Order: sequence, then C-alpha cells, then structure tokens
Amino acid sequence: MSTTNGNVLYGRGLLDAVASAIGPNFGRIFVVLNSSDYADEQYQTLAEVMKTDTDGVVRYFTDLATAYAATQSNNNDVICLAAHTSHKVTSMLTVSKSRVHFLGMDSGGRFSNQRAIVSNSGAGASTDVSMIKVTGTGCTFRNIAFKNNWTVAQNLSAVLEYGNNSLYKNCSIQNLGSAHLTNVNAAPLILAAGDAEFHECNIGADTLQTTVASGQVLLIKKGSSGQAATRCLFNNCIFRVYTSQSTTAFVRVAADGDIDRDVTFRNCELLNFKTSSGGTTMAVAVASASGLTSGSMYFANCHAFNCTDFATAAVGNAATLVIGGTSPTAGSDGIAVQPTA
Amino acid sequence: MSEEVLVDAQPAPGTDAVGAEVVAPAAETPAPVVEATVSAPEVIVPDVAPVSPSFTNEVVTLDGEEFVKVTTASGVVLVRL
Repeated sequence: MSTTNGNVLYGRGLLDAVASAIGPNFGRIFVVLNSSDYADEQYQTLAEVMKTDTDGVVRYFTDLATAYAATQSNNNDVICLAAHTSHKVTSMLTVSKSRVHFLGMDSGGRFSNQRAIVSNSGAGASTDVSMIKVTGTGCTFRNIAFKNNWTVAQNLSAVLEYGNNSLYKNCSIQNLGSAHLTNVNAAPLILAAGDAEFHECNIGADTLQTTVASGQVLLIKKGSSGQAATRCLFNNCIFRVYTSQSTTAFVRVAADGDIDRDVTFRNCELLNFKTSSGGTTMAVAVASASGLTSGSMYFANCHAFNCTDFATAAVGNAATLVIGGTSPTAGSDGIAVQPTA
Repeated sequence: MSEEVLVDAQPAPGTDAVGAEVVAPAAETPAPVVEATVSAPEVIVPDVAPVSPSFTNEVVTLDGEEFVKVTTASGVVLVRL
C-alpha cells in the first residue's frame, strides 16, 4: 500500500514549475484563485497544499491585490494565478516592489488569450490611469492576459510599464473598454521603461473597432519620473488593431526624448484587421515623433499588414530604421534604412 | 546631462542606504538623454470628453467562461475574456 501523500507530490510539482520559470532562487510562493472557482478540484487541492506557513504568512489568496501586498520587495516572491475565472483588480495595481514575479498557471506557450487573466469591471475611478502600473525593478510576468475593461476617461492603458528590467513572456495586453475606442491618448501598453523585454506577447486587440483618429497600440511616452523608454525589446510579438481610421498607428512616439538608446522590434507582426465592416487600411504602421534624436526605433524582420507604408517622412519617420521584410525604398540588402515613401 | 542611474524601489538587503543599482553607460556610447526636471502629471487627462457613465463594461459568466459586455457606437457586444 502506498503511503505517498498526493498533496506533497502536487506541491513538489508546483515548486518545479516555479523553478523552471523563475530559476532556483525564488522566494515565497503565493497562489491566487477566484472564489467563483470553488467547485474546481484544483481550488480544493491548492487550499490543502498552500497552507498558512509557520510564520503565519498566508499563501492562499482569492484576491490578486491582497496577494501582492503580502510579497516582499527584492525577495523574488512568486504569485501564481489560477487559469479559470479572471482575477479582477478593483483599483489600479501598482507593482512598485522589485523582483516580484507573476506566473499564470496557464499551460504556457500561448501568444494570445492566455487563460490566466487579470481583468477588471465597471467604470473605474479617475485615479485608475492604468489597470497595472509597474515601477519596480526586475519583475516578471508570464502566461498572463491583461484585459482592461475600465471606461473612465482617465483610464488609458492595460499596462503602464515604467519599471526597469521587466520581463513579459507569453502575455496579452489589451484595452477593451468602450471609452478606449474614442480616446486619442489610450493605448493598451504605454511604455517608458528601462530595459523591458516582451517575448512572444500579443499587444492590442482586433475585437472592437477603434474610431478615434491618431490612436495607437503602443504609446512610447515619458511618465512623471522622467525616464525614457530605454533599450526595450519586443521579440517575436504580435500587434493587433481594428480601426476605422487611417491615422491609427501600431507604434507611436509622443515626443523627442521619450526614447533613450533604442526600442527594438525583432520578428514582430503588425496586423490590422481591415476586412470587416468599417475596417480601413492604415497610412503608416509606425509614427515616430517629430525630430526624434534622443533614441531610435529599430525594426528587424517585422511585417506590417494592411498598412500603406511602414513609416513616412510626412507622418514621422525620424530615427526609425527597418531591415528585412518591410519594403524599404532605399539601401541594399542587409543595411537598415529609413523608410521614405 | 547625467549618468543613467537605475534605482530600486526599495533597497535590497545588504545594499547601501540608497539600494541603488548604478549602471554606467558604455564608454563608447553617447551620453543618455535625461531631462533634469520633468514634471509631467501622473494623471493624464485625455483630450476627449468623458463618455457616458452608462457605458461601463461589465463582466458576465456564461457556462464557466467570462465575457465582457461592451457598449459601442454600434451597440452592445460580448467579448470573450
């Protein structure tokens, strides 16, 4: 007769999964399950495995913000998010602690619509300028869909990335609030981070039609700290939009000074859904800031779909260099050029 | 102009009082562009008028799956979360 405790094995499996995602030096592990999922067997099993520890620290939560509050900065604490009912925040979640890691207990590997979801509901408050705001250093987000539904006019983004050395892998970042469709300052992702990396992520949604002129999917814009987007990387990412406006852009830089060094896009697909009713071809995929000299945007082997030009001098192509697959109008193979048109 | 200084939100155990990670730019690279004083407001007020408060998004659950009800100019649509 076996004397093996199944819960011990389950806990060991959880530790192995965390170690494979974060590395061997992780801190405490917290799990978050939505109380709506009480009938799930996993809900019960994790309640037995993730007992309050001997120091009295609760490890099992039904609320993401409460779990985050339990973490310690720089301790490499890990928050594991169950992948059934979404985890809703009731106000902007500011991730100001450093080295806190968020793992969706999705099976992993999805570009889009990960089943571990961070979301919200209703209008939101005027102070909820983003659903998630990151200012900490060295935080990690894996296998999580960020789906922002707030509709208050001051809410602009699903993720406001002002941190340093953040890592996003297999995450979706989307605005779904009705007001986002008509707000020229809204963008699913607003970026002013240092050395942030996005790998195999989906930015934006083609579900709802944007109707505001000059909207964007990614807005590169300084925040109150004054930090510019510095050495940020989008690797193998998909950008999506559905717009009635030819002036929508996938990437827009607000002003000169908003990039330091570079923001680099490698093997990214920029997909404009124009075939449905009202969808239109975008004039440019990328709109740089006029006179951008503080840094550059590099697009290596990226492809824009349903856009007339990748970038133009008329709209703004300053410090924008592309190579491979984007039909630049000058230069030789292997040499990055400024798209003209 | 100044060197780029990356500062953790809280000092790590064992670090100095500032708890700072200082990453000096490579010698061959140009000095970073850092504005000494930037006072951009934390809350960015959009240029457009607020939409009707009745246009709030609500999340509904149907057969274990969540959908968000979005009111758009063309009516109410359900979007799977």
